[in-house]
Amino acid sequence: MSNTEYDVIVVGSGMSGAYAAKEFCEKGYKTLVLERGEMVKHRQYKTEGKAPWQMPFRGDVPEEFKAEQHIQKEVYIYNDYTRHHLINDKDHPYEQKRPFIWYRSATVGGKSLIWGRQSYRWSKLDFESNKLDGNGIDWPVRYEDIEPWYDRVEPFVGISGSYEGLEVLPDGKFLPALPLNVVERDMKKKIEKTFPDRHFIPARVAHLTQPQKQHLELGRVQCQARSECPRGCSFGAYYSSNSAALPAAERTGNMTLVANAQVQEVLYDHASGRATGVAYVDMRSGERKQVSARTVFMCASTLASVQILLNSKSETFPEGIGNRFDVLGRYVMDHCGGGGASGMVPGYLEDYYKGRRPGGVYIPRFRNINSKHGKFERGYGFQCGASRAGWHWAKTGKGIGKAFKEKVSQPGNWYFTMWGFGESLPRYENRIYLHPSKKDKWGMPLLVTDVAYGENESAMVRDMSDTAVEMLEAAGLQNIRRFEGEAPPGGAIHEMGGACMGHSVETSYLNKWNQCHDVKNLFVTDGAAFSSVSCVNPSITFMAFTARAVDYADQQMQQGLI
Amino acid sequence: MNRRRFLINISAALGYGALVNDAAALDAALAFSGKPSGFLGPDELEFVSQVSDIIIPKSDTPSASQAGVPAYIDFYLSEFLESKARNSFVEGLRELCNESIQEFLRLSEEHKTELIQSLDDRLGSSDESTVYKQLKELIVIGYYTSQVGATQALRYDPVPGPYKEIKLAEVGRAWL
Repeated sequence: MSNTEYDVIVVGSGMSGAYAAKEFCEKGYKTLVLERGEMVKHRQYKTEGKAPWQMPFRGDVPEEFKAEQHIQKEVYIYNDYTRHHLINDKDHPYEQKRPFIWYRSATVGGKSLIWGRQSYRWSKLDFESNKLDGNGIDWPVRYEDIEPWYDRVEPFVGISGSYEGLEVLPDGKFLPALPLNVVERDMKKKIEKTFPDRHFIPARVAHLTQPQKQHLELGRVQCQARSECPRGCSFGAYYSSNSAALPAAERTGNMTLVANAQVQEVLYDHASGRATGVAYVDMRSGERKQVSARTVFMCASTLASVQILLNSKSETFPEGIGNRFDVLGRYVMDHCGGGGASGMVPGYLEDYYKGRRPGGVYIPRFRNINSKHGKFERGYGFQCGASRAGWHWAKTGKGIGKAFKEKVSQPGNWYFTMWGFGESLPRYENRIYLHPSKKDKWGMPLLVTDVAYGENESAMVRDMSDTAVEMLEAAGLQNIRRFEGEAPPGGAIHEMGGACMGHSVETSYLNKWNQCHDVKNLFVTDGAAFSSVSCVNPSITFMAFTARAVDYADQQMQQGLI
Repeated sequence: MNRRRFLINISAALGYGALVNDAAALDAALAFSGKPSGFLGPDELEFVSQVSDIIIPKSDTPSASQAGVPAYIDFYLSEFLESKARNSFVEGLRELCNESIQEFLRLSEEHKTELIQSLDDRLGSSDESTVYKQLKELIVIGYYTSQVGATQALRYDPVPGPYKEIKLAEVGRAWL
């Protein structure tokens, strides 16, 4: 068992991978992290701190870059400050049998460098829903199983939030919450009075509002409210692999991190029934390499982990390692969204703020909890916030001369905007698979996406818009604008599923420890493992499952079982 | 071939396959110097300069031309726009002043302002001038994202420190 090059190989350095590496390294395991993206070291962020006049086109991206990034250019953070953190789509094609927007990172740290940073625990209901309404496969895990691992992960990440005591959105281990502003405080009163089942609370975000010892030891300090997060933050004020988990792994001396390494397959030995390591391509030289380890953790991102596993073919597993029952690639999901509303808040014209607050308001799920809605299963939450209009209106607005200039120099009215994120249903037919012949320039078979929303999601998105308008009306807003645009799956960038956890090898890929049913030293701990999607942002839950799986793998290795 | 295209071709020739990841080197080579690149002729540049100052004149803070907006627009046309879009924009500039930029430059200040006001009034209507709309947008962006515009006409704080609520009077102007 000990004649391997490494104890553990972790594929991917994003939200899950870097945290797996940290945990293994701290337990003394020699850990190899293989990352497809370019190296980006903490504090070596190319565009951080640049003022617009220091950018060639003031943040605008020339057409030829957009042509290279024809998918990535639609992501909400895409601009000239951030585009190098996203992949070149021409080099990384995939086939959309049905439309799926696949946003992907181009760097070490993965999407942790560019994420939205909203961090919520899943609830009891989230883990029970598949069983209760019969969609998808029953989770082999309940909230009580994962709760201690949230307790472990959250203090390391550093999450600001308020203690609310809500069953639908369990409290965690929080740093002080970001404050609601004056408009939001007043709206909270009105909305909670009119709709007693709806809670209007500060967004819970992975920003250090009051750094603790373990943050300061890694050089992470208080959030400076620059709102430049996706460029990278040398303050380490929001959580990223680059600022926190990778440096924590690095300082143990047990981590080897290789960038520009495209992992193509997990290697399997029939005689021992074990994964023996992985094969990867050095994307710079084109050289193919193999490395061995006792245990393999797949954290390459939801779709990429499944793609690699499907491509890990052997005589035993011709359809991909551990995939005897065509479960791999099934039940791919994303949050459905596009529903919401915005409106103008009259008054408060003397009130303003200093700093660009990194999170606003969250309204947790209120549908299908104590009563059935009737038109759809499950529910949605809203991410919201109030702020004052700035100078941008002037780009297309009317006016010339001194009066125009004077008007632009003053903040405009307050506006409140709310966006829904809904729990889509797990469906067996929503799947990803490998293209039979097409490969990328490094020889990796292309992924085909065959995933779509159904009537449940459409009905939910319509309801999001209805309830958003109803709440803004109750709060006395004016010029209310209803949003109702259904984005294709992938658009919420919360893709999950494909290598789901479940009770049996016939129906699921992983057991309750994120361990492949058929290959005991192979684990998947990114979003691919998820059997449903809740309606809250998933990253912190990826990390909690990763911490739990590492703990289990450690015990199994100590006992010589894997 | 514009300078940006040239640089991209060079980077490809040198074997830097991942164009996107080479963006920083390209950006460094492309930093706006503050001086006109010479794409617009003297009259065109003067025209853009006068329109800029009619839309954003000097008040207690500098005007658009004082903030380098005409040179930025010249740079943007030369380095950002693809040739087709660039040529149609320059064609459009002539249409704005009824075929002759020189004629526009000879008009009285009042007359120039009236002309721009009438173009501005049509914004958002069915007969809005596309090129005026585009020019105004460039002027507004060029000004408020310039160092002068961002720090004098607006308030700019790159490191605000912890978020807090304040009264508008404490800062007096909108943040960039």
